[in-house]
Amino acid sequence: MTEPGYNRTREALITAAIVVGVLALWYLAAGILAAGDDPLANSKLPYPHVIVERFFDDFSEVTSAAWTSLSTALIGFAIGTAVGIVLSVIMVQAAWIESAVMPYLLAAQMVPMIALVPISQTVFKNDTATRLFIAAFITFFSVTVAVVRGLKAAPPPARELMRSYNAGRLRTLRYLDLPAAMPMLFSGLRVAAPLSLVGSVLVDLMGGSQGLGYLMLAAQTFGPAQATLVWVAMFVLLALGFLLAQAVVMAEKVLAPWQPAMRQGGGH
Amino acid sequence: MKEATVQHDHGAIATRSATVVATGVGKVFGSGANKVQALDDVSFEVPQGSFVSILGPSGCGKSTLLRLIAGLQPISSGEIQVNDHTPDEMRKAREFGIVFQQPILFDWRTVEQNVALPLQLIGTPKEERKRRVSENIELVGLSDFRKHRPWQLSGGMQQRVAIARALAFGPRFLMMDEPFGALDMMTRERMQTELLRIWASRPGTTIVFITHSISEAVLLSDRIVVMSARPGRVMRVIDVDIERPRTDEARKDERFLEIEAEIRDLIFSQEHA
Amino acid sequence: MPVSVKQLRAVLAPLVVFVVFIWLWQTKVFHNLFGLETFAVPLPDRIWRSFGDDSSRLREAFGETFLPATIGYVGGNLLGFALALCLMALPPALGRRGSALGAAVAALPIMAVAPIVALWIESELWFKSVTVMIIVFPSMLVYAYRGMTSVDPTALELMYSYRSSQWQVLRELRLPHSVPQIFTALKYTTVLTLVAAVICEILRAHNGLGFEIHDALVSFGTARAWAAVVLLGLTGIVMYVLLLLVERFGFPWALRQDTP
Repeated sequence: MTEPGYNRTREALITAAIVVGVLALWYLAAGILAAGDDPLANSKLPYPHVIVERFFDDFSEVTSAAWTSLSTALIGFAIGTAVGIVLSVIMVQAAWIESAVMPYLLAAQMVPMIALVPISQTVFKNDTATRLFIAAFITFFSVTVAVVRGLKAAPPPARELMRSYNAGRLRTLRYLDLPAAMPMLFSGLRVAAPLSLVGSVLVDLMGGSQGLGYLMLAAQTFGPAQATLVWVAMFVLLALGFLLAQAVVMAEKVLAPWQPAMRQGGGH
Repeated sequence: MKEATVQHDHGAIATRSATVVATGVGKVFGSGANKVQALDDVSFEVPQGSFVSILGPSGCGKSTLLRLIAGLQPISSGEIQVNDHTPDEMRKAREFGIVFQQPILFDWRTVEQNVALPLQLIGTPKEERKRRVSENIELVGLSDFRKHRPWQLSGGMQQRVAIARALAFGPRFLMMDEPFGALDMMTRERMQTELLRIWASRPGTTIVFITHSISEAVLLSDRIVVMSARPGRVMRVIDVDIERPRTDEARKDERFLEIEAEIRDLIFSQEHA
Repeated sequence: MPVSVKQLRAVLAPLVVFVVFIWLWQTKVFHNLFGLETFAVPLPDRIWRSFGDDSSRLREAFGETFLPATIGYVGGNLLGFALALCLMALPPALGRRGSALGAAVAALPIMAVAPIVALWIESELWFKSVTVMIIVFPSMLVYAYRGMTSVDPTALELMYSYRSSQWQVLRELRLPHSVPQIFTALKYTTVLTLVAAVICEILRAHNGLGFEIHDALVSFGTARAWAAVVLLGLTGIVMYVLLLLVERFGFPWALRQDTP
């Protein structure tokens, strides 16, 4: 830690080396596969440049699919977060509400929510509505559980301090509990962000006619010639997931910069 | 329980009007088989403008006693009057400041904003708030750190912020629950003299101070309420007749060592009984 | 010992919610409120009856999902743990990078993994098992490595002062210390396992509960679809609770408050 500048360059170099190494291995493996007599070699592991070419060939189709997936995921994500925060604030107000609802929220964490996609499609009969619903629904659960925990994260002495100021419930919530819950809220959001994207894409697999999932199905439906499109869709999904996760991290840095993990500058 | 209030006839504090009067205070936690008598028949007085320490081993219920005076917990029996009001009334009127063993600063607020917290809660106008915040930060000697975050400060500095916060809305009554208990020995002694300086700059402020350090109690206090444990009882009330202003030099004072020895004997005689 | 209000509430309150919820559902209050049709959202008694009527189909589908899920879960966790051990054998600078690579793989969305595996593997069973394995192993790798490396440096110094070998340090210090993290990974990966299996079955559906949901919906057997969903949910909860019991009674010293 003595020379951060030097360290950063070194880190960057090593990361670059890993990327180059992985690419080289990929080319090697794809080459070996192509040299064999597997007729599906091209779809099983296409050369990276083939995937990039395909991305630009079908650029408008891919970007519009990506936009469908991303926008619905984002809106659902926002709705789920808002509802989750409101509900968790209500829940911690009374012990009986919490003990009545919390077991179900916890159990929901262990249930594969995406199994609800086909069912909600028959209920909504509308792809966009289903995408929004699933993204919001999945987000809602992780946000609520996390925020309920966060709202109780403030240490008892801090609550005592607020009581010594004769601060009521609303003020304690505003000045103590809500800020104290921020780190937990973001840990919930970090889990929920990629899931909301997956939820949205899954709707496409169940008969949606837009979105990245639709591109992925293309290989199954239209044969191996379309297989590179699966790879394109996969990398776009990967990039979107990464972007979404980064966006949550950035938001956290702006809104909750005081947390131990983000501290800069030492003590005295 | 023996009525062991030894009144050394020193100085004027006994003649001033009392701010805190505790009469036969008892506190019971739990019920049935789990019943624990934390405090039993505790009586003492805290005269206005004086510094009174409540001294005792851990488990003697001294922190509980402070919470009763602060109206943070209900009293089981007996009575506490603060300026002829109940503790709860005082708490609701926001008549006192309180400092805990842990500084309890909010990480999401700067030093300045932490000190401003109680003022914000009582709705002090912005200009007035600013003035009081900087005045109190200056008083505890942290003017250069007003924009810092709590975790960037040392333990002693954090506790100074907590003191500034407790003083922010100008209370005439300050309660401190082992405020220096988590600090190292040297910082602790520095904070003690620091507290004496701060107290001297706010004449008329009454302080109730909880501690388990005999020398700390002797150095700071006008009066020491010595307690025994399980259940918490008052063993003796001792008035400290060492001249003020006291500095670090007071630690070497003959009278200081005498009183310290007296308290030590008292506590030891109890332990071997 | 008398039951406290708190304990009573913890049992009664969720129960009341459950009963009221089912009752409102059964009496079509939700249906009227949201304008739902009973063929889209079947009533609880229909779903319940479906467990009896379609029991053989459901049982078969459950097996078709559960077998690859178990293979993938066990295999993935073993693989992840083995890789973590391999990383421990490397110098720390390399091990850390390996673990970071694992974290990157863990970030792969299942949605992106399954279609690629589908290109490679024809067999229904192994398509699901391998996908689950790929989804599961990086989490275990990251958690186990973190658990084994996050030991107190002073404890390490103590072990070395006894002239312990690396193997002894691993067995006496690092492994016990990593138990809570390993359980966190085991619990976290149960739901991932089911999600991955269901996605596989929806993506290239030939059998299993995920397919059953789909199949039931297109043949207007919505009650059967809902029954399959309930079955999946129960499986997740039962797996989780089993792990919790193993942890509670097998490693009582390792129990921590921060279960995810």
